[in-house]
Amino acid sequence: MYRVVGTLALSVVVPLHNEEENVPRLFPALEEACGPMGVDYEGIFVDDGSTDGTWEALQRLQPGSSRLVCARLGRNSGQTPAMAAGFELSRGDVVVTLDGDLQNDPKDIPELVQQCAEGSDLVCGWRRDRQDKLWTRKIPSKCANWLIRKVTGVHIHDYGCSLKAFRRGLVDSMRLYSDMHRFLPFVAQRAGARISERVVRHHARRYGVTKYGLGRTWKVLFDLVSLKMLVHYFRRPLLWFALLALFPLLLGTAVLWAALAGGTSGTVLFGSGVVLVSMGFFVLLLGLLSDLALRGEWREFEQLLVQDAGGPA
Amino acid sequence: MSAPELSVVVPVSKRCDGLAGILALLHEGLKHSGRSYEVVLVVDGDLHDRLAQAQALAEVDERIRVLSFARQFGEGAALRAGLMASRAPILLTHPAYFQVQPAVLGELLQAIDDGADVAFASRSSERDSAFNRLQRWVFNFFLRRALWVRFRDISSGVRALKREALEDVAVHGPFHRFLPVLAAMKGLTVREVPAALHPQAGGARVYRPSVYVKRFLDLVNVFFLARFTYKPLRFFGLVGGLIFGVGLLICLYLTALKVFGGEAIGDRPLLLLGVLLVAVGFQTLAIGLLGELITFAHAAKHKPYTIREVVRREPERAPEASSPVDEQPESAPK
Repeated sequence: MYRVVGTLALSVVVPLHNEEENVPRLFPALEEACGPMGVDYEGIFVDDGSTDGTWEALQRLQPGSSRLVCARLGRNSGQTPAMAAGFELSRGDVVVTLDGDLQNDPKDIPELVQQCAEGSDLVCGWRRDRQDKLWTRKIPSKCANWLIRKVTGVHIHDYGCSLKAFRRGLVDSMRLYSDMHRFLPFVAQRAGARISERVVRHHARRYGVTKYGLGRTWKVLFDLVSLKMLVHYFRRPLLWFALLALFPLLLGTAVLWAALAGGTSGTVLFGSGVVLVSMGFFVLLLGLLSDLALRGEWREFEQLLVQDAGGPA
Repeated sequence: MSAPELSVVVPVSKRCDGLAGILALLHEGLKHSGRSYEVVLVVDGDLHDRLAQAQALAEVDERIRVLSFARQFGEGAALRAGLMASRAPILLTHPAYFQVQPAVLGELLQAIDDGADVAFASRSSERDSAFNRLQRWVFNFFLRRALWVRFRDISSGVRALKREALEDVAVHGPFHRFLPVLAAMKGLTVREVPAALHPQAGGARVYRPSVYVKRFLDLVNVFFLARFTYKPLRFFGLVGGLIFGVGLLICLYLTALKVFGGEAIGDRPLLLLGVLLVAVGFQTLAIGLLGELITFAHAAKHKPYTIREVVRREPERAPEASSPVDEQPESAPK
């Protein structure tokens, strides 16, 4: 069983961006799902700089069994920062995140929380029967999931699902920025979290418009590369850059050798060797520069790792 | 003196049309606003006559405060110092020269009252000199292309903003020129207020070529900061990836010639070009990764969000094990 660390049993964090129509439907569904659990819980609604009436809709909510926390961000900051804001305000032992578009079903919350109580630090929802467009959403999502699984080595099915349950200690030890939510399981795993998943319901969007599109694919790709590097080499950036430099250095040396020893080819081959070798050196120097840029910062990261996901907040 | 309702910040730099005239314009423009205000004059460095002027004005008008720099740091720095020293919840900036009609000030404040975080005067170009119109058009054209914002004229120094917005648009370096754009990119509500030119504004201004170069580089800089601060690899990766890709294609083509055609490629300049492109692309990618490391290291210090307002409400039926919580709305933590 998990220890009581926060002051409440459960926090449900919902980032919202222009979900005016969904708010009045989402909240009763949430209370209906969580009320019967018989625990002290709070709903945290984070209005991420909406330009429609989302904030007004939040003000009209009447809490029945939940404690209600409505927060408004200073500007539109994106889903991950909005989630981080919700985490900052949350006090529950378990924190569940949920999309504000009603595609996730709050009915799944009790099961996720239960699974968390059974010993997982992070329970990821898996939308096995996804109710979205096939070509623009489901297939790209399948590819992205496969790629993320290969690169990060965390074996869950659905990285994009917002419905997740976190244990308090994990929430406090994660550092979130930009579009990191897709890689949360990876970050959590590196922090030593025990991760499990559970099939959750998924509904088609009824109101409002989706905020995703195919245009973000290349971003995910680069984010993935950077995260892979960050997680593995943050404390030894020189090693990373040295690995990068290895290939051009070796190839360049071989080309130089061929040009000098062979004697048959002219200046062009020699020049190519020079370019490759100098590029290798350049990348090595970048590694040293990164040591300089990160001087002292590793303490912060070390602290993150030491804070075991199951440990006290 | 208690804090005023409005602070007017006037950076006094080399270009100045007489402080007395500017103050008269401010007083006229704010006469009907019904707000108490202070005027912060920031004299940028070694401009002794201006400092004396400003101090003389402050002698007779207690609403005026004067700051001065020990040496010249530029209009942007003066603006920033003035904003930092100001005390009111609403801030108005005005350059030390005439730009727009005094009535515009009231309209800007009205826009702020109507919910905008930042409002700025956008000068109509009818009565301006043709050369000014041209250079402004070119500048704003590039701006629109690079940053995908649809403002007509952002470079006027007459702007109003809420104090909360200040932190988001920290106008460091020379970027004060881009304040409305930076604000819009941060998701703040930005209102463009069409403004008639002041009768004394509008003589053709020709700058030194270096000024134009600097302005262009500023634009590139703002573009980068606004788009890729949190994810530098997205920028460097795209640029580097393209260069790398082209280089790789060239190299593959040559390899194919060598392997299948049996041609000698060791003397072809194309080989050098291919290798060079691969190298440059690779280096660009590596720099992007360095950028990611730096960003990540700083992520702990800079929260990517600000909480403006929190409202907590209690349940109707309190469960048995309730815990104490504060009821009143909290103000945003800094």
